[in-house]
Order: sequence, then C-alpha cells, then structure tokens
Amino acid sequence: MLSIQSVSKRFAGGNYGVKDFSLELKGGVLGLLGPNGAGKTTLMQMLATITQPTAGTIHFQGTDILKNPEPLRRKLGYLPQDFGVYDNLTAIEFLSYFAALKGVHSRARVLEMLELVNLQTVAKRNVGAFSGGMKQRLGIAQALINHPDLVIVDEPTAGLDPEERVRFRNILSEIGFGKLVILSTHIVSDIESIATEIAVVRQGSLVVCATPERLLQQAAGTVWEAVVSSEHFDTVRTSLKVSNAVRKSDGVHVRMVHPERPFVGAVGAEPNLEDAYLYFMNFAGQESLRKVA
Amino acid sequence: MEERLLRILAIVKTDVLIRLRKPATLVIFLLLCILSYNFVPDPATGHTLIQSDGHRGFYNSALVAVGTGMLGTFILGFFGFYLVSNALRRDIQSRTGFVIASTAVANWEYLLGKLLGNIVFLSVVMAAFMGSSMGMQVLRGEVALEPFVFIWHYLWIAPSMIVFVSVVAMLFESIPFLSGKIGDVAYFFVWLFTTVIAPIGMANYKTGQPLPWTLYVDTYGLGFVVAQIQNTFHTSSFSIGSAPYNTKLAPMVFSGFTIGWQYVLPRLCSILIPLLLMGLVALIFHRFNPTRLKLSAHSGGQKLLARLNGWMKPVADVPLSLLERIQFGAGPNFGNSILADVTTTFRLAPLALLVPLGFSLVAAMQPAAQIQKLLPPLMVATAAVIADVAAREKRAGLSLLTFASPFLKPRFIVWKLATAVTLTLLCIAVPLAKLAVFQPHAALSFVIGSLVVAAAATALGTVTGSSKAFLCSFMLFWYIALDSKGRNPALDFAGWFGTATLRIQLAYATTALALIVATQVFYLWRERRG
Repeated sequence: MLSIQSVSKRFAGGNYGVKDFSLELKGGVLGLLGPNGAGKTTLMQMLATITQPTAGTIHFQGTDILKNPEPLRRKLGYLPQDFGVYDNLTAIEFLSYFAALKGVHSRARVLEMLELVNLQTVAKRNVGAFSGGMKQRLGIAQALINHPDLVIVDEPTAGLDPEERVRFRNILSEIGFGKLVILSTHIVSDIESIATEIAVVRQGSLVVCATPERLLQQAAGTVWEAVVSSEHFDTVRTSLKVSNAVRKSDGVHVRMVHPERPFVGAVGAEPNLEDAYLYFMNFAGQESLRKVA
Repeated sequence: MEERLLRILAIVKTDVLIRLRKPATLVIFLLLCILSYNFVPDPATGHTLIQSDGHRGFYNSALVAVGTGMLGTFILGFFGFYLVSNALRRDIQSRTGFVIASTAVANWEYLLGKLLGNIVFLSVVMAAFMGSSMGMQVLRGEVALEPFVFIWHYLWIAPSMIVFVSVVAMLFESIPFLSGKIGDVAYFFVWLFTTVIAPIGMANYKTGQPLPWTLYVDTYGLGFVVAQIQNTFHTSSFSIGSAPYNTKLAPMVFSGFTIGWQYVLPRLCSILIPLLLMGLVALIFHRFNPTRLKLSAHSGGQKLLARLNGWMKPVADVPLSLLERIQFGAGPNFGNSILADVTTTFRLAPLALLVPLGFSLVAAMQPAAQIQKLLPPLMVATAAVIADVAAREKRAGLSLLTFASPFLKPRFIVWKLATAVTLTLLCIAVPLAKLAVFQPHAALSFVIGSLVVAAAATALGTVTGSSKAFLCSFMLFWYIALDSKGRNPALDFAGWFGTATLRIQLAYATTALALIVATQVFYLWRERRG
C-alpha cells in the first residue's frame, strides 16, 4: 500500500529532519514512536504531500506521490499536530467546509462523523468554545470524512485527558480493514493496544519496525527488577535506564532496561512495550535491529 | 469542473462567514453609519457634502451617492486592507492550512476562493455603507431616494477599489517580507500613492480631450469622478466631504454620471489590471509547505529587524540596566510593575531605545523655532514604540501568567496605560520641554495629543489583541491631520501647527478619558464573561 524508499529531508542549515528512511506498509495501524524532535512530524508531512523530501521516493498504491500527489490526496485523511479551528464557525459548518474541500457534499455524512466522535449534541455550537479534546475529535472527524485509505494523525493525544485518549484510540482502531493508519506519538500507551506495527524513530532514522509481539520478543532478557535502598536508588537512577520505580516500605522497587544483568540481586522480568521502546532507543544498534523487521 | 466550483464556493462562504461573525464587523458597520451621518451634513448648518466654487450640491440620490461613494471608497480602500489581510495567515496559524494542503484542492482554486472571499466581504461592507448613506438621503435629501440611481453610481466607483485591496492583501500575505507589520506600514504608502495617481493625471485635463492613462489604473474612481464633474459643471474646483459653502449662491444640481464608451474601458481596466498581480501570488504561494513557511518566518523584514535588534542589544543594555535599578520601594508594587513593563518594551525591541535617545538629541540641537517640525515624525516613532504594549500578553499567550502577578488583573488597563504614557513621556520629554518654553499653548496640545495616542494604543490593543488596529487608525489620522496643515484647527490634535483652541484641546482630553473608561468597561465585561 505504502512504500517509502530511502527518504531524506535535509533542511537549509544542513540538518536532517529525516535521514535515509525506508519502510513498506500494507494495512493496519502503524505506531510511529520516537522522542520529540525525532523527525516524526517531518516524515508525516512528507507522507501527507505537504512537503517534499530532498531524496528518496514514496509510492502509494503504486503511484509515485512526489510526482503525482493528486490520487493520494483524494484518499488521504490528515490530522496535523496542534490542530486549530476557526473559532466562530459551528461544528457542523466547520466539518461541512472540510467535507466540501474533500469532495464530500452529503450532510448525512457530516452528521454521521459528528456522531462518531460524539459531538452530535454540540453540532450547532461555535467550535471556539470547545475544549482541547473536543477540537481534537473534530479534527479526527475531518480526517475521516472522505473515507480515506490512508489516515495520518500526528500526536493526536497531546493535551487530551485519559478518557479522551481512550475514546481517540477506539475511534482509530475502528477505522476498518484494508486501510492504513499512521499515528505518531512519544507516549507508548497511546499505541500499545491498537498498533499492528510499531516503528521506532531516532534522530530522523528508523531504528526498528515490527509487530508489537516481535518487539517484545527482541527485548526479552533486557528487563530487570530489583529492590534497592533509597541511597542506592540515586546511583541506579543516574547510571542505568530506569523504566519504573515505586517507593515501598522495604525500599525502592526499580525496573530497569539493560542488555545484561546490571548488578547482583537484579532479577529478570518480562518486558512490556515501554521497556522495549527504551531498549531500542538506548541500546540497540540500528543495523542489527533492522533485520528484526 | 462542478467539483472545483463547489470547493471554491466552500472557501468563499467560510471566509465570509468567519469575518461577518466577528464582533469587530459589527463595530465596523456601526462606524460606517456614523461616518455616513458625518459625511452628509445638514445644509442648514452651512456645510455640505459636495461644493464647487462656493455652490453647494443639491441633495439628490446621484450627488449623495457620488459623494459618499468617493469617501467610502477612500476609507475602505485603506481600512479594507487590514480587514482582509489575514486570509492566508488564519489558515497558517490554525494549522488548518496543512489539512487543506493535503487535499485535492488545487492552488488556483484555493487562491481564487480566498480572493473572492476578500471581494465578497469588502462588497458586503461597502453595501452596508451604501445602505447607511441611502438612509442619509432619506433623512437629509431634498428629493426622494432613488435606490437604483444610488447603486448605479456606486457600481462605477467602488468595484475597482474592492478588487485592488483584495488582490494587494493576498500579494502582501504571500511575500514574507510584507506579510507582517512591515507590510501593514507599507500598505499605508501604497494607499497614499494610489490616491494621488489619478488626480495627478487629471491635473491638466480639459473637457473634450482624450482621458489620461492614469484613469486606467484609477483604483478609487477619483479621476473618473473628476472628469464627470468637470464635464457637468465645467470647473475643476470642488470638494467632497463636509465643507462650508456660500449660502447666498444657488445649489448646483448633479443629475448623475454621463456614461460614454470612453469611460467603460478605463473603469474596466482599473478593475482588471490589479488581477494580473494574482499571477505573481500564484507563483509564490507556499501551499503551507512547512519548509517554505519556516524560511518565510526567518526571512526578509523580520530577519532584518531581528538582526538590528540583536546589534542594538549590547548598546541598550547600559541604559536599561540603569533604568532597572530604579525601584519604588521593596517588593512588588504597582509602580515597579509599570517600570518592569517599560523596560520589557525596550528589552523586546532594543531598537525602540533609539526613539527617546535620537529625538532627544535632535531636539536639543534644533533651534526652538524649528521644534514643531519635529513633532509629527516624533509622534509616529512614539506610536510605533507603544503600539504593542497592550496587546503583547494576549498575543504571546501570557495573559494568565501576568494576571497571577499582584495588582495586575484588576488594574490591567491602568497598568498598560501607565506604561504607554511613561514610554511616551520618555520619548517626548526633551522636545516637549523646549516647546513648552517657547510655545506653551502648542506644548499643551502636544501633551494632550500624546495622551490621546497612548489611550488609543491601550484601548485598541486591549480590545483587538493586536497592534494592527491602532497602527492603521493612527496612521490614517496622522496623515489627515498633517495634510490639513493646521487649516482645520479641529485636526491639530497634537500642537503641530498651534492652531487648536482651548475647546479643541478639551475635546481631545475628554476623548482620551472616554477611550480609557470605555476600555475599562469592556475589559470588566470580558473578564466577567470569562
């Protein structure tokens, strides 16, 4: 469905936003995971045909989207980071506008989307009065209104409360079979329940792309737990990659990610995706890890 | 093709709706009603809308339409730019532009939609002004209102301005160098230039001669109106706008435009020629490409200003450090908050420090008799320094942070006014002292005028959350006042010509006070609404 081949984006100052990035994707939900500044947004903007790469090719359903972006644009739903609204339009007017731009002129579809994102009761209210979560839901509604084959959502859960995040995840996971959803985030919990594949990005380059199960398998044997004293915890925290720590009456229960047993007394634990992410971000050599995919 | 048309219509409809629903639009409509009321005085007062060689114009629909149409076109030709110069910026700031760029909307569809959105909105505003002018014909006309005569005359005057302003707004938004404050100021000069180009061409025109080329770029229809009036009354001496007339002379009757083919092509060209600039707009349109937007943000005027401010920073550090040492007692208090706001103004734009330093130096060296000549440029520079004071917290999203400081939430308006007045006094102190010695009356006017400007900057900055409304209103008034050269004492608001009477000074002082009281009321109302 989507083929990204050796794509790079070099800025005027010489820095790379994305460097030699290659990926083949079919359907499902791809979680694009990486720290702030890793190049996720730049990559998504290139996929959304807003900006062009300085090198490489991108094909969608066999069409080179850099030379001919039109076919993709007709099948694309895009929600940029920090999506804003036109304050003095109502939700229905706002959505009808984007529907019209995407060639959708059915009022029923607009109402259907408002219902999907649970905004039907406030359809005639000015969107300027909406909360951040409501605006974000309106954003996802506009992204989905044209029945897209490719949905790109950039940090969609930023600023949402826990309930909104769950609602958002559910909407994305229900988009349907045969479509591709690319969701970028730096929060592992946003994607762990819905991603069919996870791509970890670091400094503009792809570190790994695999199913969550494969990532967990690869991280097996790298997660350790121990109970340490408060004094010892400071040393552990600064010298090791701690993924979790809980203070209890018998000391601090520490969970660490490390390729080898970090100290005597640490016992092996089963990795979760957060651990796997920390492992790939901090310890994995890129070349060997790409083979995982 | 139908699909494309529907997309363009969606853009136009949304743009117009967004603008019409702004509270500022209601204010504009109210202002237009007030303007048309003032433009069409009761002839019994000795003033008239159009006079020629002392004869007043007989108030029929044709004359009132031409008079108000001309004045409305001039005013909307100026303010209209600031009303519509955010069509692209809105989509950048809200990031909806990224979504639009990812759809199948072609660049030309988007730009055409935005242009038509500008044109439709300005047409609605002009139509509202025409409606209120028709009301004045009903109120003060000497014969019954003829609506179609009114519309007919407006159609010959206004469309060229509406198209020109809409296109120039799009062009300025597309050129990084002109897309910000520099563009706002530059447009003032564009407006000045376009208002004089047609009259210059008509200076030597005699009835029966071929029309000069300037009528083909006659944005405001002024050359066309001059030609029409000359052909009707065989004189080039006339004025439009409330002016005194000789009550002993019989009124002249203007029965409407005499339209011949020789006028059709120039008027058509005046509408179409600005559209050629849309080709340039299409060439440089960024389609919300973040790389190009990022480059735009760091190029042109902004880059130059940032560089100049950077160079000025070490120089400004010395006087500002001294200023920061001044304290009204220990701990937080209102006086210290004002001082902090004053120094912040200079810290944000160290170049602004050149205004008090430069003008003080020039004033000190200038002969006392010449000091009045310094006042108009000094006032422009001071306005530039204080323009952003009341708006910057809101723009930077720092309002809540500021309100968490002691005293500032309930006294925000007083605080901002005090900052603007302190900055103004720093800028004008030396010239004012010199003026006070030799021309105390003009000095009083200058103080009052400066207070009016500080109050207007505070009021408009607070209400709109931007410095744009203040800067464009100030520039227009500054130009009108300067252009009057003191002939109209009521316009000598700041003692530039020393012709203002005590009553006029009092009126301006009252205006400043009223502005601040109204702003405080507005602020409290807005805070209560949350």
